[in-house]
Amino acid sequence: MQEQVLATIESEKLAIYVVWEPILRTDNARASRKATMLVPDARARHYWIDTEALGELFQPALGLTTEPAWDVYLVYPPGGTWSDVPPAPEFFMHQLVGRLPEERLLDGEALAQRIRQLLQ
Amino acid sequence: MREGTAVRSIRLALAAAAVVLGSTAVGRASEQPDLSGHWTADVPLPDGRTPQLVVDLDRLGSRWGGEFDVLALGVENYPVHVELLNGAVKLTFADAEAHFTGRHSADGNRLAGLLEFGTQKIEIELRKAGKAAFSPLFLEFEAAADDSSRVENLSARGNELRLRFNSDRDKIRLVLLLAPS
Repeated sequence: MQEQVLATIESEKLAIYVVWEPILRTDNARASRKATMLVPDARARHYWIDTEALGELFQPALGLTTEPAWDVYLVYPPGGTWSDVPPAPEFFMHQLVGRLPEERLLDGEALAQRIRQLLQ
Repeated sequence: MREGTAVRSIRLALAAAAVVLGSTAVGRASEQPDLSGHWTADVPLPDGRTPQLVVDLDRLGSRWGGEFDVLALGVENYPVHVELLNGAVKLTFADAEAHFTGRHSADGNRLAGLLEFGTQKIEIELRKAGKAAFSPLFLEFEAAADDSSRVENLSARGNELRLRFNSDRDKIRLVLLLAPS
């Protein structure tokens, strides 16, 4: 993510939010602080949430029904806001094999290209 | 338990080699074992190969921690979680979904026990071979783990994120929802 996507886009018009969620057995606040090293981009804001509640809030935006949203990458153009529930992204990619469309499996170059298109 | 990308890749590597480890408890348990050191064990696989498990352990602040390698399987510098349980030592290789439970020998230089992975169990003996040798990257990650300023805690409905998301409405916004392990 850092090398293939974020490092290729220098614009300050890109805001990045990384939410670390407790999905795996070893996920905790300490692990989230370590994981920030994986996305060192200066524009990134890192968050930790100790429940799956936020992932569940994002379920409708992605059409997920069986598990919280995680391992997903959501792109929002300027203008839209988040009121009661998170809005549906303009574009997304994921690594949830078999649970979201295969054509949206994470492809760093494609994700970066889409972001660059929105920045133009 | 759900699997992250790292878990999946390591599980595949281990499964492909039909690896899993185990052991029998030997020796006298120490009340407060000194786990610090560079530990190695040969892991006898069903296919006849014997890759080496390398575990570096030391005190990290107030707790024990470490990292492990199985270089023959392409596994290098992954974290080890350490627990002391009634004289036994449990090492959890979380990224491989494997764990070792064993006991310290009387001289403190061996840890014998059972390495478990899935339904397989293999007896192994970890032998101390000098001081812990952590990778620079491991030390950087440990330093990050101790820095509470690196993450902001979210309330249940993510209100803090919602406010930031809305205040950045003039920007392209990229939201990543990820598991940290």
